[in-house]
Amino acid sequence: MDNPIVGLIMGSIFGACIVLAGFADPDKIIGSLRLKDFHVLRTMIVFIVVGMLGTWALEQIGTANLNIKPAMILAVLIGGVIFGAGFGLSGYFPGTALAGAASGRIDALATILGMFLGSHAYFLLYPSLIMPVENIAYFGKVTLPQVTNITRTFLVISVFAISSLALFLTIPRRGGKNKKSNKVGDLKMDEVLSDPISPIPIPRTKEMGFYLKTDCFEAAQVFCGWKNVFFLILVLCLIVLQTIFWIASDRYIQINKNNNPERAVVFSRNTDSSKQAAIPDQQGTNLSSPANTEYQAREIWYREIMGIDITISFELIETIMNIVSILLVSISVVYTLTLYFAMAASFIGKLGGLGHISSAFFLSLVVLILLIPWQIFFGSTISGSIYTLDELEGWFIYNNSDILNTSLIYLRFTGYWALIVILLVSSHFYSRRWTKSIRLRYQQIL
Amino acid sequence: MNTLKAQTPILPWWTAGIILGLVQILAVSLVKPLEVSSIFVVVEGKILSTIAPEYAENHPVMNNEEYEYSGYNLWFNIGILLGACIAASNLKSWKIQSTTLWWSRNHHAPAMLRIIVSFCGGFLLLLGASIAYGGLTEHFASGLAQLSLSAVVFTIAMLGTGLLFAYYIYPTTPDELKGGV
Repeated sequence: MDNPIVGLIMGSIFGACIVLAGFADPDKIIGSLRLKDFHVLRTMIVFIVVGMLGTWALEQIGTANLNIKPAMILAVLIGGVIFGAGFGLSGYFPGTALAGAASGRIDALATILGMFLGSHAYFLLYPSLIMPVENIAYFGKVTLPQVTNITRTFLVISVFAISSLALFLTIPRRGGKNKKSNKVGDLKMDEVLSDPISPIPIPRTKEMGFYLKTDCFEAAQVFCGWKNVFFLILVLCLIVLQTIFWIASDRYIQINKNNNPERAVVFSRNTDSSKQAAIPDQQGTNLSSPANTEYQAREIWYREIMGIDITISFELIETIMNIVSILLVSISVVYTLTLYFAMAASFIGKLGGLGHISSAFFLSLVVLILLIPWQIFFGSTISGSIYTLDELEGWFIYNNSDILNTSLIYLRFTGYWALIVILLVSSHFYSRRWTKSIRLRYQQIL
Repeated sequence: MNTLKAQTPILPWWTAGIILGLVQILAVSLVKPLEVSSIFVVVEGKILSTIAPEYAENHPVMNNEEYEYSGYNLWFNIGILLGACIAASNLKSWKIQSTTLWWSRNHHAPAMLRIIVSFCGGFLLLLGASIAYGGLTEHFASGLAQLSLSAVVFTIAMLGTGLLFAYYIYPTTPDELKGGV
């Protein structure tokens, strides 16, 4: 697919995205470098994380066309410093300079002309100054997994988790001055009684309306606290569920690469030899033979990390899975009900943010429906995100044959999971916006 | 007369990031990870080969096969120009501009000085990118996506210097941007 037409189309999409994302405006980039405007940084983090996940997934399937740059540490360091100087000076980098020039910016055009001169200077300086530096601290085209001996999967998941948490915790909050203030409604503070006990001046007019609002707000406060707790539990359970999949799949896929037949564990508790006849180890030993059944029944995951043997038994995994599955279903039901009652309190007390809490409730309902393991009731016709170990085993034994089936495995166990996570996070995002709306309304009541 | 004002991007940060990430995935699956700055070196090399063929023949870099091929990369960069122009036209944001809010509020200098500074910035951009064997797209975006070691080193150096230079060149935040855009 390395042809000019593909390049033109890909470049057009990329250039359009740069403009739509606001990268062609050097004010946004300079604002990011000055740490005043984080739009560009957030976008880049999401860009990198999504690209990282996709690259890793393509690598697993075997269709990734990688292009690792050589790690000439000193040269890269010097080049990075010079690049950063130009970046801070102009507010452009090569891609955005092209997009900016295409958007009518003369300073971007000047940047592009300067870039040509810079490449010319590179040619002139290369033989005498740059070439000697390239050989200092040269490690070749290496990646972090190769250097650190940590698997790519673990690194990708770690970066994804940390980035997601950082982005979620620092989600931009719209300031009050940019938002129109909500009117309180029919409450009028035209007359105030002096009450020696209550610190809050109580209006004479429409007192019942006032009490209703404050009661509903108190109820909403309780729902706010508990929905956060339930959300946290759901996220932790989902992470555990996905981790179990990766532990099992990683061990299973590497089954034929294991050099130690005693530790070459088949992911199965079924000691029926006919079911496992297709999986010999490297030395040709049939792992379904009675001599290995004992290991098969006990171990699911073995790895040596920093000289320490770590083994997780099958029974432990099964127990954890059962607990997590029950928790997921039950907590998601409670989470949905909490949002429902929060929506009701918001509606009855006219607390505001009804649109946000409605969206949150609807999304949580979709999450609940997608989580429930429907395959238990309806067979393989329809399945929920929650899986059983038998189902996982069935997928890997009978479907791990080619790229399409491998893709389906990851789509079913990871893609489906990712969808659930996105919907759940979106629901929580809307519920947070609802929380802010009702707090704003309540401050106006007082 | 240019009217400078703070602009809000059309796409929110998470949407833009996801779309750009999908473009990266498409590129990795079809051809190779995204890269932009290498074509400048290739084009300059071809210009030098035409103007001074004897010099180019003996140059250690210009004979490198990685700097000879220009099909996909060249059209990718042309595509960036095309796509950006179409997007800007459709958004009615295509406008002749020569300076920025940050520059005008910090320096009160003619726009020509901004153009000269941008030229110098571009010079440093490509010189640095050529020495590092890749620029921001190659290292920061594509390199980190591939978990390459050089990307980590480049990112740290680039961001550190960029922050320092931006702080030195643009110390005052424009009033229009103080509320956040």
